[in-house]
Amino acid sequence: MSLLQVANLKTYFYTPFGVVKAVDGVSFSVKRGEALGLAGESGCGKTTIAYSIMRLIPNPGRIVEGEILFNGVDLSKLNDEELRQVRWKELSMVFQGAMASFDPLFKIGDQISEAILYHEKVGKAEAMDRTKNLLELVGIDSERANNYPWELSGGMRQRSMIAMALACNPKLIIADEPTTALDVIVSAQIMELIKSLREKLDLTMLLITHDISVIAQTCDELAVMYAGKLVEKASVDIIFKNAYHPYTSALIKAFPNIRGPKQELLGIPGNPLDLMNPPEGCRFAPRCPFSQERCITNEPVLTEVESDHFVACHFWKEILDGVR
Amino acid sequence: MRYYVLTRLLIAIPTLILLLTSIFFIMHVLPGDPVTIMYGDKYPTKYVDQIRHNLGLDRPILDQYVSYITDLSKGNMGISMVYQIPVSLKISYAVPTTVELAILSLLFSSLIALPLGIIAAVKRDGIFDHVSRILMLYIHSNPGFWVALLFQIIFGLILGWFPITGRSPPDFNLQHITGLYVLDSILTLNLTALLQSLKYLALPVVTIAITAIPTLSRLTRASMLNVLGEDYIVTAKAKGLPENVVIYKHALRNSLLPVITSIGAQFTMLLGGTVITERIFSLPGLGSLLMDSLMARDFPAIQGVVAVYAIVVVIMNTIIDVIYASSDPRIKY
Amino acid sequence: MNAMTSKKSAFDYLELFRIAPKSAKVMVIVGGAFAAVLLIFVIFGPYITPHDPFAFSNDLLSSPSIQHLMGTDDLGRDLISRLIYGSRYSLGISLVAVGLSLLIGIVLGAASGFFGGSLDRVMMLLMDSLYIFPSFIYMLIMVVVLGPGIWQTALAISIGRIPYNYRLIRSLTISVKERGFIEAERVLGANNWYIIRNHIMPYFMSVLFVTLSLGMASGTLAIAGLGFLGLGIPPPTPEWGTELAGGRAFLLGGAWWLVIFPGLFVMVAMLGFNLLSEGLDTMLNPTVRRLK
Repeated sequence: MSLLQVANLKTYFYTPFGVVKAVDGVSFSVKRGEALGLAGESGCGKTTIAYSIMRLIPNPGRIVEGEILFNGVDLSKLNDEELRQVRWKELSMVFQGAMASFDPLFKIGDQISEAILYHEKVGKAEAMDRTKNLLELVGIDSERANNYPWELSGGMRQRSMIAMALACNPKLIIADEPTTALDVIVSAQIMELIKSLREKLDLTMLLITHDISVIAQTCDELAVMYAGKLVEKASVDIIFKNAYHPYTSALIKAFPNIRGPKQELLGIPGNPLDLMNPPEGCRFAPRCPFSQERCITNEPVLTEVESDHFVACHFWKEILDGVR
Repeated sequence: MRYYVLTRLLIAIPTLILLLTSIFFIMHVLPGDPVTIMYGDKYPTKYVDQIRHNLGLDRPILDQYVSYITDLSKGNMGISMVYQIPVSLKISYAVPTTVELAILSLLFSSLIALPLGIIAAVKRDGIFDHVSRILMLYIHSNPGFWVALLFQIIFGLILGWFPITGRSPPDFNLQHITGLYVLDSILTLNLTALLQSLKYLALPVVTIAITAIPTLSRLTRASMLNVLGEDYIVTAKAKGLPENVVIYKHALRNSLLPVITSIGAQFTMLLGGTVITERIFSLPGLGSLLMDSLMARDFPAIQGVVAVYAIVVVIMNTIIDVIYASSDPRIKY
Repeated sequence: MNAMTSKKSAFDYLELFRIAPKSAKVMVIVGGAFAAVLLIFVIFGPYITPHDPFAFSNDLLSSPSIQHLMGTDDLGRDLISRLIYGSRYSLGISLVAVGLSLLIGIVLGAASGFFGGSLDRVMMLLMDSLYIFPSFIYMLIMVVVLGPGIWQTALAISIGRIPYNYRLIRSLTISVKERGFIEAERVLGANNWYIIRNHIMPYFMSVLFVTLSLGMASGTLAIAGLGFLGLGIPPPTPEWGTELAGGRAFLLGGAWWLVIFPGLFVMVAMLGFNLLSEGLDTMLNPTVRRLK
């Protein structure tokens, strides 16, 4: 049962220099209780997807086309009042950079209670109680509710953000680069926390990151984006053993492996795409070692080539079979 | 917090002394001998020398400085040459007028400028924003005395809505507590006096406020725009909070912090403007006293008024700093 | 034209003008036009006045007419001639004063910012305490203590503005000093002069132009204010503020032009310089607009 279903989403930014097609026809779904990791390099559009779902796209951006079905309701068509009902109660977000995401003038306990108070008919005392419980849940001493955001360390702020995201018991949580701003050790702690929370609360999650190792640790499915389009989606187990899209495998190979033989890290040559003038054919073609003429002229469509394994590549089979 | 207030108050005193010292030495460093300049063309040299001696201006500078500061700290500002009464007494009559004028102008301009800037920022690039920016630019280009005269002419003489001189009508009856007519009439629940004093203050206050409103509203707008672009505003929206909560609870508080500091600078400017305004509207405040003393070459009075201006300015800045510190939890002292 | 490969100085003013938003362009052009006309008045004033500013005539207190475009005063002197001639004082002195105080401000501020240390701390302490005092009152007192006259007025105005300029230049110097690119340039082997000419100066220039323009506005205002109070430039010199004050006496008799026109001159001057500085500021110091 799909909790979230994104269909042909297109989000464009109408800048003075031209139209940036940040998300250009992306479709995927997330089942209830599942965790989907959305990966890709900087600028590929993954964060834009997250903000599109939450309807937080800033000017001059707009959702141009597509549907965002959450429990059957199309979020892209809701008006402000309806959005207000849905936000945080049904789906919430953990933002990147928790420092700037908290209002510096209010204590974090108040900011978390604020969410509860505006969505549910409870008193201040009860809201604060729940807040303190949430803080304990994410591994923070509940006394910290009386601290200001700038009084906490980076890791604690991120935990507070997670606590705040859970405040109204949402069905879906979108985590945008939850570990990027943190050092490795704290990062690992946060990922552990997210994993245990998922199990405890049976959360559905959309995790956005450029670090696929994080996805490998915590998610069920992986979806890879490149230049505003989805190139591959499959379960984590399958995809890490056998990526079908050349970009995905390049991405995986770019990460060092602690075990196994020492290999030189392979980068992906070339530069990111200009999203104002995307090419007609496959967007990865300029950088793909396997690209043919067909790749440059025809854009590959994301197809379900095996059960629950989607690829957008003309020659995935040939590449797999080793035929160049 | 209390510690901060105490520290701030303690710093205020050396600041004041430093200010007065700087002014003192600047005055004495300026080319030309003030006594000769002020009196030389009217009186014979011997007389001028006598005046200089009486004023103690022929002593070495350090001597003059030391006695200046010590006298001041005792509240002794000398005897006015013109009125033959202690300068401090003369000043005490004038201070309430100016203080009332300055504070009311500050309040009035804040009341108008702040909402203006906020709305312009929230509805950025809308009609309101464009119109108010053009309007503010135009208003900013009007000299204070020009506005004062125009107001006097239009609202006073032609339309007759407001009186054009003075603080109060001839039949004014108010019990003086602080000397601030508006405050006193509120404290003594004297409605008639309240309305009368407001009527007389209307034109001067608006005149002065007009010089401060453009800068203040521009700053508020800029600060608000800055804050609206911050991440925590996105968080607030994502939390499903209503629009006005996002703006008036989160954005507003953050954007007003730099504005508070600016209000201090505006006050200084306002104070400068009171001199001309008091002249035009014949208000018996410090500005008028300063002008009269300058015209009459009343040395002790001039020095006394300058010292009082310095005190007022330092006190105001201290108050603003304390207000700022109490509003921003990030300030620790 | 790639800025990195261009051999010119990093700041091409024509280019900056071309890419500025329309509103800024309008402001610079209109403001610049006003300023240019006023500058012409300052330089060529005596030669372009319709009548002799000091000549008496029999047309006492006559309202504006073809012969006397802005009317005459109580001694029959032509007002528009007086006001045009007066630009030399209201604006000219302002220019000198602003230039002087900017110069001093640059010397003190740059030294303070660049060398830091106790020099900086002492100067900051001094300037901070002077800064909080109303500058108009400084100028008022100084003008009386120095006596009336052109140079005295210029000196008074310039001294009043020094703390503001000092602070500005000092913070500018510090921000430039702290920027990484200075170190980077040194590493690349550039000598001090190259750095100063191609990186520091252009940065300063854009701020200076705006400050100069703003200073002209406030300087003119201050001079007119002093003149209005009867200080600074003594009559019969037709400084705008002095004329305004003089005209006040005849207002009740109906001679509105003696008050309106001097005031308009001041207002137009201020409007011009304010527009110019606003436009220049947008043009030369673009900030990235947050797309939110």
